[in-house]
Amino acid sequence: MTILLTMLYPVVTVLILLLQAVQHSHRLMSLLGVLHSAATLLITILLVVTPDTWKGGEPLFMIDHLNLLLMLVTGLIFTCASIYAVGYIDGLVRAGELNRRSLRIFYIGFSLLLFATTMAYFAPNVAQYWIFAELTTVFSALLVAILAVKENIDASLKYIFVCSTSMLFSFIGVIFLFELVRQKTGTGSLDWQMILANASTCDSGMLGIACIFCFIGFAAKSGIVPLHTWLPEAHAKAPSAVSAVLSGAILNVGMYGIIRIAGIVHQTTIATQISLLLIIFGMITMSVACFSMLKQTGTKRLIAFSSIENMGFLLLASGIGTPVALFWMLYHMMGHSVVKAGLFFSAGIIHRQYKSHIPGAEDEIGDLFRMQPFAAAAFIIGSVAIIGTPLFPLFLSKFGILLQAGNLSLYIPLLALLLFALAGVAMFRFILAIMGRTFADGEAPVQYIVPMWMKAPVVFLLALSVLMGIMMVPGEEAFFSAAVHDIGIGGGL
Amino acid sequence: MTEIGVIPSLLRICLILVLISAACLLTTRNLSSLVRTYALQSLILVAIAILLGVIEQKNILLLIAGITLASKVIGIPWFITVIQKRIRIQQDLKFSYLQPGGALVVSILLILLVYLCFSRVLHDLVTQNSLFFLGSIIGVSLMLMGLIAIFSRQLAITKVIGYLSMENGVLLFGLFVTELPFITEFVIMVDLIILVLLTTILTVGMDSSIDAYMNRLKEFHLWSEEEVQA
Repeated sequence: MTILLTMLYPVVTVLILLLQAVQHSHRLMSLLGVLHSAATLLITILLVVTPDTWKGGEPLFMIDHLNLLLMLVTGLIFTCASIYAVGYIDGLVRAGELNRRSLRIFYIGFSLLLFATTMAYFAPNVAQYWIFAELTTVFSALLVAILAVKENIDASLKYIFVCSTSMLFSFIGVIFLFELVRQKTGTGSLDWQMILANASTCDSGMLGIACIFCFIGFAAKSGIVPLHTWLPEAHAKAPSAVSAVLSGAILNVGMYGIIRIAGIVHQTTIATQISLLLIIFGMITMSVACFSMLKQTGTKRLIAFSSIENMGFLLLASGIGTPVALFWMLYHMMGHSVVKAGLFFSAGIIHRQYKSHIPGAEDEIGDLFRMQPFAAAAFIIGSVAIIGTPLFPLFLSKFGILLQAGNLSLYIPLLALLLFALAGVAMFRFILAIMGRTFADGEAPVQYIVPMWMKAPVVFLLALSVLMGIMMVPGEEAFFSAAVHDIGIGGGL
Repeated sequence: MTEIGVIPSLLRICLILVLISAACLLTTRNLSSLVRTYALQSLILVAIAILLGVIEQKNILLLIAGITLASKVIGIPWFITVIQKRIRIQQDLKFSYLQPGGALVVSILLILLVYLCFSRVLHDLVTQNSLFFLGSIIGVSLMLMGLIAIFSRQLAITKVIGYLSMENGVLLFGLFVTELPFITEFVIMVDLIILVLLTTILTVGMDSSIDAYMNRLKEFHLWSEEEVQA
């Protein structure tokens, strides 16, 4: 049963890719993209609701609570992004920014990116995860470069170089892990479960080195300082539908590797040292991101730095390493993805409206509420949600993680709260600045009519984030606890 | 028996040659000789894999040597040469952060650092088999030298060669430390090829896109001809 269900992922992908390759109509290509993401989401939901079927091991896919949870978010974000893209990409083509000949490459790249992400999550061993994580870099870089403007190609090349070179360090770590398991069991293995089971008896010094090497690459994938330099460029320059996917789904791929490795380290005697390392880098990332947010003048760059801040916070939570902290960390990942995608979508509408004709110049925003009331409201609600206001999911997770951090040292929550305040100030200073501006008579650009395709995902994601913040679906808590258990830390709450 | 006795010293010579080729990659300014150096470096790797295969009696190493020969000695260098002709750039003169001399000094320091770290971590390997220890050190050093090349080179196409050299370092390290399943090695090669294809195509795009963008601006009469020229 499970084999059938999981095999649907590659089968659907191949079908969609074939159809897209022969399709000429733009509208149909984009609808195929929606169909692919929706089908992936549906398969994931089916897997989530039938937990009894995937308990056994399988050769190609490893399915547990942790990767299903992340896959659920990924499917959701991709579905919303592909719906949004129907309107957005059409607008790009009309405005002459995207060449018609690039359309097929765009949609095929989008589907391949979804497939690579899926396979990275369900990979049963580290090497397979590494390869698919690397492929997500390649495909998303292709999507960043699709506009074929110099800045985009620059951003895309930077993205590839920073991530791929760092991922090579991870591969050294993977080789180390293989050798460690081989010393233990005679035959080498890279299975996540196998490494986790043998970690406690391995040479802890060498395991520590292996994990640090692994962290380098996975940290670059999730935009941890000092390997974050690609992130603001790529996220800001990419078409907004792609930015949302990069921020909401692809950053989580790196985080997934970090949690798995953190779980492995947690079995050994060096857990405290590695935890300290994670906490330090988490704090550095948050600080750099929050201070950088203060001086941003572009909408999408501001949101991109906010992603770095949240990734730093997730790293901090994984460093704390208690079951409760990890529970909230997973919750934070979900909440962040949903809210962040919504923010990028509304920023995309604002960008379409106020796009500057001078290449490389910032958007000139003015008369925001008169010209784009929907986007303005959505952007403000999204900003309120992302800084962790009550009623929204990020409040719960930030609260939960900081309480756990307080057990280690009071300075961590204190500093973190200060940084959150800074991020909030940065967000609202920016909003006030863009709201205050008005155009002189006759200088305002022509109003951009927002298609329904672009509005619907924003409304849906914001509503979903409120829903997540005020109620828990029955069984949600148990599912998250089981996911924490899958990491290899503690027995849930 | 004498043949087996010769092989470890041959391996050592190959390892030193790898380091020399990495040093060349850091200092050469001419693009076509850069590509040739990279192909040569990969060829030395092929030789190392074959020699190791003879020592350890493992066919898998010969297979690895085969795909390395096909992809890294012939395929990728050929592709880069084609691209290079398209973009009509012969030399990469500018270095950022580090000049070639400084880069060499930094690499020597890095090799020493790797030696110190590894002699503490891999102490079993040091006592058991000094050749394999040397191999793993040179593998990681080659990787770090590739990293320096990525940092200090300015053209994207030379950065690609730096990346490829890093990947050679990882392969070397993998050869000496442990034997990975063949399928892993193979898929990494595929990944590498996709990456090289994409980055090099993007480098071409980078040159052509500026013109295309300017043309589009002219099309919409946003900028006059003179402004575009400026």
